Amino acid sequence: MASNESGMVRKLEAKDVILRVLLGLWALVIILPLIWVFYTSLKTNQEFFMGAWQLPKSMQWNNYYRAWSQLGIGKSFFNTVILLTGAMVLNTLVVALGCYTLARFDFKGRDVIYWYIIGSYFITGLNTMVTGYILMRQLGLLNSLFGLIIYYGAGSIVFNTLILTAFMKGQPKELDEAAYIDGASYWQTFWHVGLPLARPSLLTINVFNFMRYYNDFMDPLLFIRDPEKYPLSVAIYSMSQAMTYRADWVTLFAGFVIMMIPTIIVYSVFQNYITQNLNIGALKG
Amino acid sequence: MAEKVQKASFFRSKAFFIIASLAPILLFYTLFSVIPKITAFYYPFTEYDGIGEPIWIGMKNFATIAKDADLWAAMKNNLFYWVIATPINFFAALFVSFILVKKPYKENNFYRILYYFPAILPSVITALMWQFAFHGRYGIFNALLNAVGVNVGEFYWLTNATAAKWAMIIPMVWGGWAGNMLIFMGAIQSVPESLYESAELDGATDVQKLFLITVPVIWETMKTMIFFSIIGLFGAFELILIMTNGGPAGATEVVGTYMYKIAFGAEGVAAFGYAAAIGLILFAILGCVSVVAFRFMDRGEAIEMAG
Repeated sequence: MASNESGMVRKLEAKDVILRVLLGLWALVIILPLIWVFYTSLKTNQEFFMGAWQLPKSMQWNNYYRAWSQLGIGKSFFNTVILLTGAMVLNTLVVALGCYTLARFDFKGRDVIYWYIIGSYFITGLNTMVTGYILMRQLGLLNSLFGLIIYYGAGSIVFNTLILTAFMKGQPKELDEAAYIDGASYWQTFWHVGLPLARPSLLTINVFNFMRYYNDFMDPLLFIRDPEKYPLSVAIYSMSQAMTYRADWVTLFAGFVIMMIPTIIVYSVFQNYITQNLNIGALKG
Repeated sequence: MAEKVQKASFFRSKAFFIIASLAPILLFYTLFSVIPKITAFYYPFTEYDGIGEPIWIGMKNFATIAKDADLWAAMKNNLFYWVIATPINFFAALFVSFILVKKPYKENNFYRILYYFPAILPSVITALMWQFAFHGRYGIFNALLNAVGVNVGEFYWLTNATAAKWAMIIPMVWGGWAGNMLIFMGAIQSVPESLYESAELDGATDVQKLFLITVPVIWETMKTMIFFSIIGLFGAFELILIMTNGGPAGATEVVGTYMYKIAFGAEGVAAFGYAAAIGLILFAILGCVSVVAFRFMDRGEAIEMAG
């Protein structure tokens, strides 16, 4: 009986070893291409042509400088900063203001408005690539970062309304009423009470906004023609295509790494946020 | 004077606040989300090059679609990728999540963070990285094959039609499975521990626990995931657009890249009406498929409950 039991334990351990090895191999599959990109970005072009396993003899940090200033990553990084800042501020203000009213006030037609906005969450799968482009063209918003800011700011309204209204409904109304008694207007109460109270959910939607805007490739590809205005995603794509003629691969790889850095930073800071709060977001795809 | 006071009090009134606070969100939402969806039902019936006025041509675009062999070939490719990549992304995520949640390995927490990283990486980076990884001479893919004893020489994966078609599955899985993992982990964590404990007393193996306890309990979540994967059938084509642009010789062409070329193609043929008609057809197909899929899944559940 006793020997039987220990036999079972040993069998379990063998299975555990196999599982752990498999998990480790899977981790290697994930991380190896990333490591390859990183050490390639520190090679010289001669070393690049010597094959994938060839490690750099000395670290060519200069590649990063060239990617930033000569390849134009710095310029498009700046565009991305403007784009993301503008879109996140615009989206936050528009959504927070609307959700505050939807969550805090009782008025005729409130549910109709809420479901009007949330309703399109359920009409997914309708491709608006072409009609969205036509609309942007009719509005004269093509080829401008300002136009893209507006488009982004409006684009994530549905999902963010879902999150923010739910959060704001759960907050006590007493604080609002106390502010009114102190003589604050509705606008002041929104700004000084409603908005600060919603901070955790504002952070959630903006972590999500960041990833959505930063990773987006199709919208700037369609809407921005002028390379001077390219955000990072499209800039790095067009640089990669131009490399067929320039063949300065290591500098391009340095560009890849630069573009990954904001993602890595946001992921390390908000890792718990992202993996716990964005389940619904991941579903939405 | 009195009028001024009245005016000021209107701007401080509740009614004004409600109207003014809802105006921006309603305006933005209607303009940029609702209108493109409405016009998606109008432009398909027109011929429109984006310069002149759209001309009403009735069902002509749909007649063209019926005879457009390239489009149907592209749809077949979408189906190919869906049939191959979706189950891999689904089951890899299911198994890995189960292990990460249920097994007490100390490295699990690290894996959870690492595994999810490709899912939040910009798709343009994933695409370009794999494009170079598949390079015949300098790419890491052939170097890896070499390291495990498979020598394919200087094989260029993305310039051979058959190879490119299959190779594209790798970045699709690499960047695609971890989104599912996150959802599965959330769902598996919510399964009551007591269910596993009683199964353990009955001597259930891990595989039995997974398929007889976890899967039935999280079935609703899985249904939603299947629904969204169907909705995404013709979606995300950025990887293909960047890595192969549908080539070589249309081997990796999917509906998204095809539509993109028709609407914004390099030849300058901006056939917006026709591209929009393709979009509408896709919407109709997705609608039918998801209705059928849901009927099927609900029946499956009914049988399961009866049995």
